[in-house]
Amino acid sequence: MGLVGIIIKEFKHIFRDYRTLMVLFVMPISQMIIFGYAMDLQIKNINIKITDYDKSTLSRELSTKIDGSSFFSITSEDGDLNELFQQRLLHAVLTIPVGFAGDLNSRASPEVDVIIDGSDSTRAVIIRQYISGIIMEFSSELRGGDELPINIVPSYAYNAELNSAFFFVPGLTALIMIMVSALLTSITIAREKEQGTFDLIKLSPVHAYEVILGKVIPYLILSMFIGIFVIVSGVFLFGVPIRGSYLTLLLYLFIYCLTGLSFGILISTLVSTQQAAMLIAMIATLLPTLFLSGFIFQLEAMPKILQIISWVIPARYFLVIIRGLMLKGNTQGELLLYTSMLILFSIVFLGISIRRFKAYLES
Amino acid sequence: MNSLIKAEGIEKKFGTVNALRGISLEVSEGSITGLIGPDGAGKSTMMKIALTLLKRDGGSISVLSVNSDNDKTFIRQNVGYMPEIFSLYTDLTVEENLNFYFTIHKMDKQDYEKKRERLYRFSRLEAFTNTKAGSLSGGMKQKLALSCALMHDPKLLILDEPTTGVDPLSRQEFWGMLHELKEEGVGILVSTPYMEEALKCDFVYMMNKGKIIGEGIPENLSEEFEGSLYEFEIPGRKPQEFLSELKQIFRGDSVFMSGKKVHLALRGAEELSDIRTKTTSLDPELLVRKKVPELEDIFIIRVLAEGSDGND
Amino acid sequence: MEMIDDAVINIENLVKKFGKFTAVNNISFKVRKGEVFGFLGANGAGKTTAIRMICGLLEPTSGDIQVSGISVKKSPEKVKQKIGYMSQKFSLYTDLSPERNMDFFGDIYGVAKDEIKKKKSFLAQQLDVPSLKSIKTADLPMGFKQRLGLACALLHDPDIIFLDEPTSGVDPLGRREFWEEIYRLSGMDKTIMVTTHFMDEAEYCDTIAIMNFGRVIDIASPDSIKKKYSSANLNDAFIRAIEMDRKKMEDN
Repeated sequence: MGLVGIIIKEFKHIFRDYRTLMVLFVMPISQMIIFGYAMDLQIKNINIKITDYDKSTLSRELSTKIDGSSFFSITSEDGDLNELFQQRLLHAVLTIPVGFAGDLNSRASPEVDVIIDGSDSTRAVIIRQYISGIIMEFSSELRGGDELPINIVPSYAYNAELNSAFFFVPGLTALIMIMVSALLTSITIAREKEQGTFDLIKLSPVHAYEVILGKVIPYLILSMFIGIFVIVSGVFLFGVPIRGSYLTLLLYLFIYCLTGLSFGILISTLVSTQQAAMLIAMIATLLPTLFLSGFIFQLEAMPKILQIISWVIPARYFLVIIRGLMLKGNTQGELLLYTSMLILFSIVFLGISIRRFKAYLES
Repeated sequence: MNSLIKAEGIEKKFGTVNALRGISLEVSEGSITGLIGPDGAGKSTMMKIALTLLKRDGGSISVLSVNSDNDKTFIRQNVGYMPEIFSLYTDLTVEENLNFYFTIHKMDKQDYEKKRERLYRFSRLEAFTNTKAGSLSGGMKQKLALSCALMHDPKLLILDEPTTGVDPLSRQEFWGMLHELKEEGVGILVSTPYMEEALKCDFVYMMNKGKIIGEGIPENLSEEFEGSLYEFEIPGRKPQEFLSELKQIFRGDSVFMSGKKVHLALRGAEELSDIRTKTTSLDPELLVRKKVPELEDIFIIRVLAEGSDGND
Repeated sequence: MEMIDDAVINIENLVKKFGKFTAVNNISFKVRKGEVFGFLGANGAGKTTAIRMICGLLEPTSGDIQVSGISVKKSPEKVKQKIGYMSQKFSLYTDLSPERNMDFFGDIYGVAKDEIKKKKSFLAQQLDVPSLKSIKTADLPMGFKQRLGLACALLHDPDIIFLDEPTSGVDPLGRREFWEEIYRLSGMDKTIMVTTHFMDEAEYCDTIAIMNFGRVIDIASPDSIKKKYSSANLNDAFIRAIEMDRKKMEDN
């Protein structure tokens, strides 16, 4: 009874505040468009210089392939590399050593040197990924799909179209969903603390779990709608595929939202004002997701300590799941480990929250 | 009469601040008990301790004949409370707020219609059923908050400054509601900054800086008053024109303006003729009267007496 | 009435409508220089709307207000310079010291540095504290906060001071001291307009106006209002005034 009452009341709050509701749907779309536009600028017009010492058929084929991609244009600029980099006439140099074709044919590790303008680190990472992607594709065509001992990030191996949207739509979905869901619950509970309405709830026979579930259930439904909206926008605006099962994607989105919402509740048990809740929820979700989930920066390339920290970032697991489902067509079984991690997070967050909240209600 | 709250020597500290310094008070069934005093006197703190929303640092208290250490839940679920700030959902309508508080008290669904009707009749909010709580006037908000506090028919009501910022007419209506409840046998503990409301209580406690500086039946307080109060007036002259002269004459005593007149409050008894002799140097038109002190006068004198006794 | 018109505020046929709702319904009155003018009314009677229009914060639907002979409609900015405003919710920066607060509000109004300094030491002397520097405004007693709020409102030496429920939450002693300060200001020919729900405070006013449903239903001295409604105190008089007005409206 108490639970149903809280759920109904919460839905009323949601629908009455239509401005916030609109922001919740408009914000992800605008972020996606801004990201899409910004990424588009970054990945086009990469000036690359290819120094081919091997001068073999294979090395020429590789050059042609790079030239053929829409992101690179091969320049023949000559002169001091430093100067060329500084004047931004050149962004990367690929050196194909003597013996490249021989190595490839004898199944040894082919070695190519890449020098990238590192002054813009994000751009440099992307350039590296594109070059790796092309080389990867090139070699896998050559060898019929065999793996090559080249240090390339696996996820990009499947981004065969080298479409930037494929890169940011799943990442952005992971980022937006954790942020929005943590914000939703942390603010709604902090608001009741701030406005004193919880004092009256404390004086009623309502249980802690009823309050928590009464908050989680409506916002879970709301965040599912937002999540579906974000993914569908990604599909329609940027043509990102969903190669896995829709149902699995929905199920995992559900679990991820639950993780975010329970994290938000945990935050709200630690603070007493809306402002503090908002700030903590933003910082605790935005920054780690941006830097430590594998969204923008490769986890493998990070110092060990950061890699270890990344194990407690829920977005890290969801990113694997959503990339797997959208781009690779993974099955439920293949993602089980990652899903279990998210479920574990939810249970831990909810468990601590209910305990802390119970103590709060009884204090 | 049954005692609903019985507090003995309650102490409360917030950090280094002594919010309550040995408060003893009692609230009985079918009566209105007033806590009067300024912000920071400790009224809200005392109320929250009675509600078990705050822990005390010393003293003992029983609420609804239950020791508040043993059965917090029982006390919480059987007391009606109106916090100092309006604590209902402003984006929900009057009806929705009532309904919500009904559901969280987990009462039988069938009772709602009856309950709702009774509360509307009592609060006269029927015409505003679909108005959002946030758009109600101050007086109506308080009536709604009281209705929500009455949802589970509590025997004890704790109301923290329910009429602050509310106009006199709405205040009178609100107190009319309290008197109805009192007739039904409900015990009410209410705080207020308005002295005229204190007169509507059956018993008042005057609080200042965490202490009770006076208590009694309001009418008797003026009779029991140990000091004396005199009123000065010079027809046609503004009080500020002779205030400082009076302050000079009665240095050390409390001389203050009260409306268009000046009051002199003395801690002991002094004859009217003595006062007249002391003020002969002033305007010959000066009128001096002995006055029955009002609660506010008593309050101020007690505060001043406390201060000069060396108790901070 | 007197031949010489010393009205500082002159309100004529002031109306404010919000959509279909008439918040202020054709009110007219004058406030003399140095007068302590009490503005009373039920919650939602239109007091705040009227004050906001007089301060030039809200445009009237019709009618005009002259403040010190200046039309609020024509030059609201000039009027704002002549008005000081303080309310119970007066936004002092509670994390700053009283001194910083005064510096800040002085700067906003373009008050000269030495003038601010003078006013600061005056306030310190009035409150009997050695310095306004070392304390946080949040830690001041309520009565001190109100006095600081008032001091900030007076920094630019306005002719008219609006006090919106200035003593809410202040202890009785602090309230009386506050009123002594009001009387001192009135003695300096400052005009004071005050709203309050404390009817004993309304006794301090020279004139009180009672508003109900957007209209001024009574305007007179506290004594004549009490006489008119044959009440011993203003509280009862106020209640009777409003009740009679309601009845009259229902009868029509």
